[in-house]
Amino acid sequence: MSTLSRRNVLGLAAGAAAIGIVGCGGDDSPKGSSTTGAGTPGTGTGGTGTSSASTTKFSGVKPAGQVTFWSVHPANSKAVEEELITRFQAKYPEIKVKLETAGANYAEVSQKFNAGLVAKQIPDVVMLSDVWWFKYYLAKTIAPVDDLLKELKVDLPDYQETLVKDYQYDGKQWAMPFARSTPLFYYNKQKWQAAGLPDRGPKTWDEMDEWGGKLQAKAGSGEYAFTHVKGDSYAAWTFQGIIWQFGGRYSDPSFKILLDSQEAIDAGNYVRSQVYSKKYANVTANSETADFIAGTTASILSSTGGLAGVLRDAKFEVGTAFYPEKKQFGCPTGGAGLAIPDAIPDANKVAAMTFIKFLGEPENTSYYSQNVGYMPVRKSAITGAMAEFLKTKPQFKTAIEQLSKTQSQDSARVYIPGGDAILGKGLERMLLNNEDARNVWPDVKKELESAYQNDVRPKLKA
Amino acid sequence: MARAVATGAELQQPKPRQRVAWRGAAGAIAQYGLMVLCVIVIFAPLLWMVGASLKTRQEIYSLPISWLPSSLHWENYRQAWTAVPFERYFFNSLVTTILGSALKVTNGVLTAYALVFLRFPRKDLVFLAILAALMVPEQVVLIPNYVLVSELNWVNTYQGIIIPGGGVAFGTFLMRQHFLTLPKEVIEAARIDGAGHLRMLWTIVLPMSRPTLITFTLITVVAKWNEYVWPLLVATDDKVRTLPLGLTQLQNSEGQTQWGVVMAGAVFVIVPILALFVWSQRHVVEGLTAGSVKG
Amino acid sequence: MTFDRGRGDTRRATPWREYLLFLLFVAPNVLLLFFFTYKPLYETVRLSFYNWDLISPVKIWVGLDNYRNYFDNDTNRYIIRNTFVFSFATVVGTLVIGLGLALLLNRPLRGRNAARTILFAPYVVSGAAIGIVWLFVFDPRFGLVAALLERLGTTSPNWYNDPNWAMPMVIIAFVWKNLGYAVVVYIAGLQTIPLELYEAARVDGAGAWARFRHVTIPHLSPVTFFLLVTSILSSMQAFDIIRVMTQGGPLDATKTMVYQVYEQGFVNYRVGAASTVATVLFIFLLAATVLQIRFLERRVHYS
Repeated sequence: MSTLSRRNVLGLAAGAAAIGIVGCGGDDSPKGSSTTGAGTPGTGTGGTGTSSASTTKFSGVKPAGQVTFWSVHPANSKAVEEELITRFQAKYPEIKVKLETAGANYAEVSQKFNAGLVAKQIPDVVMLSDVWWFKYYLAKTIAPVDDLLKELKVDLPDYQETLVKDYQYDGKQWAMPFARSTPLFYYNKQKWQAAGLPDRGPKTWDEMDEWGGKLQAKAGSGEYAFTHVKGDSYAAWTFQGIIWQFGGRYSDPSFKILLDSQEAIDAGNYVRSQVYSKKYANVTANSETADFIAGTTASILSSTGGLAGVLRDAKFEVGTAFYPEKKQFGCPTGGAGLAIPDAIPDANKVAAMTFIKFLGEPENTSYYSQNVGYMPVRKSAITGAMAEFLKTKPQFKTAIEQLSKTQSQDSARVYIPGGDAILGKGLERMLLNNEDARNVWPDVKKELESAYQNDVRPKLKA
Repeated sequence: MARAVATGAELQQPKPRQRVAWRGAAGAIAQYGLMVLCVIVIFAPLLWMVGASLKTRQEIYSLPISWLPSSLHWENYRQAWTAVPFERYFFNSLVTTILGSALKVTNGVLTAYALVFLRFPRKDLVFLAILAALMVPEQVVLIPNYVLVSELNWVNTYQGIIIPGGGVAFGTFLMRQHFLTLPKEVIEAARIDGAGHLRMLWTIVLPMSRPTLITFTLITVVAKWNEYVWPLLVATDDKVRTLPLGLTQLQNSEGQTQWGVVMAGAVFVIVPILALFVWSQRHVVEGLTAGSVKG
Repeated sequence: MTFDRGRGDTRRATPWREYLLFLLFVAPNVLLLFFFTYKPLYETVRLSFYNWDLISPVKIWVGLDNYRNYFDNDTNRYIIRNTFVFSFATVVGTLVIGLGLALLLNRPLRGRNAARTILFAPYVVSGAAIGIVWLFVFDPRFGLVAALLERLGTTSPNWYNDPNWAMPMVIIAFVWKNLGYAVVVYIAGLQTIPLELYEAARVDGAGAWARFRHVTIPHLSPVTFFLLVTSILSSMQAFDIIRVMTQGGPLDATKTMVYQVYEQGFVNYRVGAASTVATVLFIFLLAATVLQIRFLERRVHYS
């Protein structure tokens, strides 16, 4: 039976990538990346690909003179983006980049992109998060970038594989990683010490429960040992790691929703118990990182994207650690990538990819990573441009080490448009309303299934 | 039909005979106390806003809360002004308010003039057709209007913000009711003198309708200045974004971790309209409460 | 008669020039109302029978499915309930407090005009700005309300996150914005009551409460009815305050039908669902408006 399986598709895609797409090696890359990229395993294998001048439909297309870039400046990164653009202009004075704020968060940029498609006012590069790009793949409004990657000789093998694969579907690449992250366990070393805890994150959630009690005993009024994120701030993302650790998952690759499993119920009721029976956790009123910086919580699970900001603003020493485990370890990737709308002229697509390629070059992704906190998207950046930095900031090192243990997200969250919000609302019912996961998950499952039937299935068939 | 009676002049007349209602100094003190209390309660959020806009971040985010700023910390205003392009928002608000109000007032006056002073078969039906628009709130028609404006390529333009709201029902009603009260003799006299309609409107009818016209203009200006949902959809970037949307932008960029800056931004939005209100409160109050009590 | 001739002539012949001028004066307004009010109203109803995402070239006809889905859904029922709770609470709050303040400010107190001005001021301020100010006032840790509650020895509820407290928060902000309007209208109403009636009541030995009950209240009933209808209409259309303060959350606790129209239409791009909500909302509002018109008719009878 050929039911659609994401794994199969990805397998195909990976195969395709190995043969065709990755036909560009270190030796072909421009000076900028080859100097830092030389000698890394990534570029080495890439170099064996067929890099001979196979033509694409973009051959000979002169890049357009302007690129409009819609960004949400995740984790207050506007200044950093502007600096990268300045650097780009120095290298490519003939392509002017116009940075536009397209919303306050990923949902808003997606709305704005959708509205822009209606009004025929679209950018050349749009920042789409893990949970939104697929909607535009379904609507056939973003362009596959394989030919562009080939034409501009982007050093794909040097990119972090997990991050690149997240945008593959139907054997094609639909976006490139940019502001990519994983959830990270942040803890306040001062509070840790006050509670007599060792200087590390809890290895397991059972240990966290034990430590949570100790931390809570020392906490002032309105302070907590651990703080959960809000539903609309990607609670379903950080929780995804937890449900995996409990041995469950939201769904399988063919959109079968698995929330009725005992594991899913246990995971849901576990986070609920942190708030309502163990009473050492709460849910943030606005932003978990703000609470953490303000010292009203001792620990959070939050995106690596906020790391630089937290380290800058916190008045105490900050520790970072892997997710705690339960039955097993589990950690999703997340964050946003850059996509190119299908409706823009070829010249604009080439200019757009020129810009995307530039942002991904090791020294640039490393600059972005150091100043914001997102993952460097290139392997060679870690051994090259960032090596010194990582020695002085062990907190970043934890994040990068965790990356190798991540897995791709469940289809229910990232492929069903609005799926993240549906799951987030379910989690809020448990965390804010103290409702039993046994009663909540069936509603969520029903809603996800109906969203799949209405918004995904008809379009996948077409 | 209905016209406001609550003019400022009348509000200022005390009703002497009611004075006997509550007796004694104790009663008076209680009443004053109550009035002062109410004013404080009503004013508290605005004072809190101004206070926070002058506090340092440290003062805002420490417990116990400091009620007043220790010194005037103007930095928040500078930060709010630079975090988002407020001067652009001001300019856009001025453009959309002035042009939008001009369009509406012109439409209202011309329509009312035609309905009162020009002959046309069954113009009562025309009036009803205009008045019925009051029954259709803009939220109900957002989607088709957005589609239409998209098709016209008016998204993110001034005309996209202004023109869909250019039709006016309530203002037409307001002006018409007033025109009907104008003395017929003056109009007739002007007609016999051979004055054209535009000249008559300009030199006779409008000067005789100044208070109503000012009222109509002011309520239109206030509504335009505060307009939110339609510009939210149509203004997709700072090029045409107005102040209330700009404030939302500021809220998004500074969030709840920079209340001082956000409150400074709120002051930017609130102060101009409050100034206009204080300057012209009689007309605003009259206009906004028009139709409530028969005059 | 030479004197009457000029006018008589124009009256008998069809005054085409004047008709043309009439059309010229009326046309811009009527056309704008047609294209941006009446036609889209029809379009909204029509779109509620389709599924569409605003982008696709084709709209899919689904008949009454959207309505069936709309009414057969707990969340939607909850949102309708929210709409009425919000409307009811804000209307009652505005009217009761408004009447109380009007009675107070109708007394011959020094400074009452200034007090009225201050009271009315929030009504002219942008709802978006007011929402933001109140959001800070309600900040569960660093807000004014939290500080006051601390003084009283209790801690602030979590206004932002607790589904039971978020609705009171937006209701308070909305009442605060609209209170001044009710006060001014009530004061105007109070001043239309003939003082002789109070005198007569006093002569009959009626106490303050009895006078209020039997003179003030009955005479204010037309004003109250007017306020009732306008407040219902404005509260059912409330958007900016909710959008700025809660975005309909937490857990849909402050989501009203207007917000749902916006969210379904311009966040989820489910045009059919959004149009369905808009149509149902229109019917509710129409009912309220019809009440208003009947009230106005009745008032004409009174005088």
